[in-house]
Amino acid sequence: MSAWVRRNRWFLIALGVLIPTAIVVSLVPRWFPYQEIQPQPEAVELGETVRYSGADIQLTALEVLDGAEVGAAAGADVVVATFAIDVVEPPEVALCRVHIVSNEAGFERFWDSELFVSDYRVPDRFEQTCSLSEVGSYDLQMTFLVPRGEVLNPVVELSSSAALPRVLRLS
Amino acid sequence: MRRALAVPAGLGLLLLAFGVAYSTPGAPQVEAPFVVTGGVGDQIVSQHLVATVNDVALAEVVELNSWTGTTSGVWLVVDATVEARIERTGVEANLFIAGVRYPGTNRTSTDTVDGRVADAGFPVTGAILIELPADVQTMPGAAAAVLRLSPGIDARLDSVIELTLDLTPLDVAGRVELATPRDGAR
Repeated sequence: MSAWVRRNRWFLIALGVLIPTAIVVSLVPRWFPYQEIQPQPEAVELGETVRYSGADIQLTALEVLDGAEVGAAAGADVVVATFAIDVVEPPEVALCRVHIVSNEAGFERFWDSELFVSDYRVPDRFEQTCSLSEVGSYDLQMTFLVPRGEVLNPVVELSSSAALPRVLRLS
Repeated sequence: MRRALAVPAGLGLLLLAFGVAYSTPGAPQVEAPFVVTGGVGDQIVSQHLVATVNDVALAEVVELNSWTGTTSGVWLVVDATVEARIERTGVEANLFIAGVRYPGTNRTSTDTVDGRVADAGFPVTGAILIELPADVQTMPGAAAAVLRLSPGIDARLDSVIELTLDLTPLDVAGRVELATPRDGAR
């Protein structure tokens, strides 16, 4: 057996090199482009202003309201996120999405914004939908339902289709 | 000696090639969903959904809210608690009997726990209704019907929940009154 190995050592070494190389080469056209389009979160502190998708974006307040106190649905708390947004150089098309993210369950969970989720009412001076497609500044406030007592330190994820894969994680 | 071996070796390789060709998985196998299984009463966790089937029954007529569901067949009434695991997702229910798919009914609008969206951490308990042939209990495969809960109609390469149900010993109730989905577990 050892004689066979010795006789074929160069072939075996070549296999040892070529098989991993073939695997990597086969991944190049799919795996690496897939990785490149995955969201790339950028952490932004509360109160910090960041230029994103042609807009200056600042998370000015983020609070979790006790669902029982604001008449939310059973088993829910309400997260209120407030932004100051100044759209300076809007892209032609920019679909803005805002989520709450929490990894307090041991893995990341996401919640979409909801209107009229409780007795809490967004004051009239705030917009309630995120838009990054027109020049101008405005204050934005969005509400989210999260499971009661399970989200104590929420993070707001804001993304624009024009700026992907970069996304903001504000908290 | 080598020449004598060449012909059988060639035939052997040819047979091997046929074997490989015929055993290569087709689209149904390659695109099959990733299944998480469990039984009635188990909390089953897939990538997208967390579900518990609390009870299973058959009924001739169901009443849900102000809607009366009549059928020339029979209703499979599944009491289930469903929530999303990671993010908002759809909930689709299908029953497979000997490979034939019977979808959750859409005759009830959103008064069932399927055919609507679920959010992470917000369990909803209610009914899943599936219309089946009247003779379902004598059909081949009725003893091993598969209830599938998935986030969408297209479950290819997706994570799904499946329970095997024996429909043959179930009593068929005449009329069953059901409640609309409510928040929380059972």
